[in-house]
Amino acid sequence: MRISCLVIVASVAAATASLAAAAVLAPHGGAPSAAPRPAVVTLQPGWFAYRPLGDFESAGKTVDAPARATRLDAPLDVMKEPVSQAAYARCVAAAACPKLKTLDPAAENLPVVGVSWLDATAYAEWYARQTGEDWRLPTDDEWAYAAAERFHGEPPPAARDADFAARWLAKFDADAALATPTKLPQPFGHFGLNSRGVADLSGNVWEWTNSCYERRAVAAGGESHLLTRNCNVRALEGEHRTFMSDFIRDAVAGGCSVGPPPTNLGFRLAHSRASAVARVISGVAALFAAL
Amino acid sequence: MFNRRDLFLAAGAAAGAAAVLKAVPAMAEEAANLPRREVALVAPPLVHAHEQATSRGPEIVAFKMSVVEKEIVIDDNGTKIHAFAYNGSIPGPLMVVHEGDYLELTLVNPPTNQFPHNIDFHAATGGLGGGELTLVNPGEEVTLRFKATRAGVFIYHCAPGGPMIPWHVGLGMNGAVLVLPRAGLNDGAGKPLKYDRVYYVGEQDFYVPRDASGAFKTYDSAADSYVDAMEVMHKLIPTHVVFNGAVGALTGKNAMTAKVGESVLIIHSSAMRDTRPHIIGGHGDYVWLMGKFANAPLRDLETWAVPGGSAVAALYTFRQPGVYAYVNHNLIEAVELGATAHFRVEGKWNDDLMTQVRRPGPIA
Repeated sequence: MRISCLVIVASVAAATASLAAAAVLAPHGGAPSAAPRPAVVTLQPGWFAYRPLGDFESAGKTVDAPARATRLDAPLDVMKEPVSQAAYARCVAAAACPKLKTLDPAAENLPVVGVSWLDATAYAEWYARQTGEDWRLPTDDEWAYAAAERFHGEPPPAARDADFAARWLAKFDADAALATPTKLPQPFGHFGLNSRGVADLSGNVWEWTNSCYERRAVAAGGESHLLTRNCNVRALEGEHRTFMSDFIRDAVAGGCSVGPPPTNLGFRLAHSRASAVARVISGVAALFAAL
Repeated sequence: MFNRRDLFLAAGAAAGAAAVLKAVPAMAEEAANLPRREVALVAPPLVHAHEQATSRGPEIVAFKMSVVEKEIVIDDNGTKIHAFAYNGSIPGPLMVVHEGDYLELTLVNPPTNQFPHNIDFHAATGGLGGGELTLVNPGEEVTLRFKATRAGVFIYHCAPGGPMIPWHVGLGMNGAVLVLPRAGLNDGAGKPLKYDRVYYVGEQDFYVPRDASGAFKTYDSAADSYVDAMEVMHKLIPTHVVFNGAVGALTGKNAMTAKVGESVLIIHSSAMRDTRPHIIGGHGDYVWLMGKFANAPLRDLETWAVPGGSAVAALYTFRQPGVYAYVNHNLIEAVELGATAHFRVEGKWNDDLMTQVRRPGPIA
């Protein structure tokens, strides 16, 4: 069975980790932090239905992204809660993250908000150095898997009309029906856990992913190919999915932009267990090969 | 020692005492013989039912408004102000009469209020628009009647005297009146113009004080906010510019609606600040610039001027379905300060008017 196989390998890996660590794992950047380590939920591999992000077209007409059976191949550690204001403040104090307008360095239990993708990436890089673990923003599909029933990726049924104006109005109506949560950041746990034990998803903080805006064409068989990718624009996930330029810290409605903007922009980090396990295994193998 | 409330009441009483004019009943008997009908007001952006062209003769059209002093939320961040609202809405409701009618208003100032109020109708003649004859203290009411001698859209606002005038108007105390020609609207060349719907959009500038850290301040009462608010007003830069009293009041699920083929009359007022409305994706087919129907409307405008202290009427027939943003086209004010509304329009898309010849895709 796949899971037990991984457990056996992991325990072997743990036994030799101290030997392998120096040779295999990324060097530990700086002194271990005295700050509390955030709680982590380990997601086990599995299948899920997922509509990829971006604008899709078929035979010259806008279509919904086709839902595909997608697999998380390896265990994924996801922070149970978003990155806190205190944690981000430690990165600022280490001169590794840009300052923010409002930040409470003592708030261990409030999500950091008003952060851009660039800020979040700077934090991820610093945190990865601090822990020696490959922490980064999740991809959009990883976020969808973690979010489970809290993922709002289904387009409104009325928006499946091929008529441009009908799709537009259906999206307008769906966005208009969304509740506007309070802007004030809420303590961890306020928006509850989902079925995977991950906290505060799709509350009043939309979370950055690493996924870029894409435009794709779908062929008759359902396979899509990439037309355009714009990595100056990244996907945010929450009550609805939206795209934003990577330097934006606060979303604002008004003008032509229809639909509620994300209330707050924040983030949580993920790291794939596969890479760590694979590294240790290859390290052990290298160790034995050297003996 | 006076508290603030006493000072305001004393100022009001002094103004009232000086203003006791005997209503000179020149031709008042004429009006007294006319039919009188009472009309229930409707909160903006909707307008009470009315005829456009009328075959009726001149009438007394009677309205009643109560002044509401209340704390309201004006944006998505929960920013609160103590506002003054005719009939509880910002802007106050639109009153519709015909040229030659007499508009009668009973203005009620409930005893729970703190301040004297009055009303200045830009459509009226003399008496400071009625301001001299309508000052009421909390616990009082007054009834004013004026002849609607000029056709057009005109604002009304509170004008209790001195710095109270900008302060009350800046807290929401303004609205508008529509005086229709008895034969209805026309294009200035004899062609009648009818509207299927009418919406009244009142633009409001708010001046909310901030504390040292930049956060908006809250106060226990309107009186407590007065000194700080006047300081912000002196800089002439609003912190909020909104439609219908709050950011988002006319967007999303509160969008105004229409159908392709329908003609919509949009009445836009701004009591203090200049503005320039624009329908994104639409036009002003007929715009009565400066808002007065004796003047032929201008045609095919993209954006039109509404000087502070006036109302303007624009007629547009929607030709495409979809979403239209209706904005103050100072886009900083539209996006950052709140001056955006939505129209949600149903119907069939017309590819002849606009089509995507080639979809966005990689550069060939």
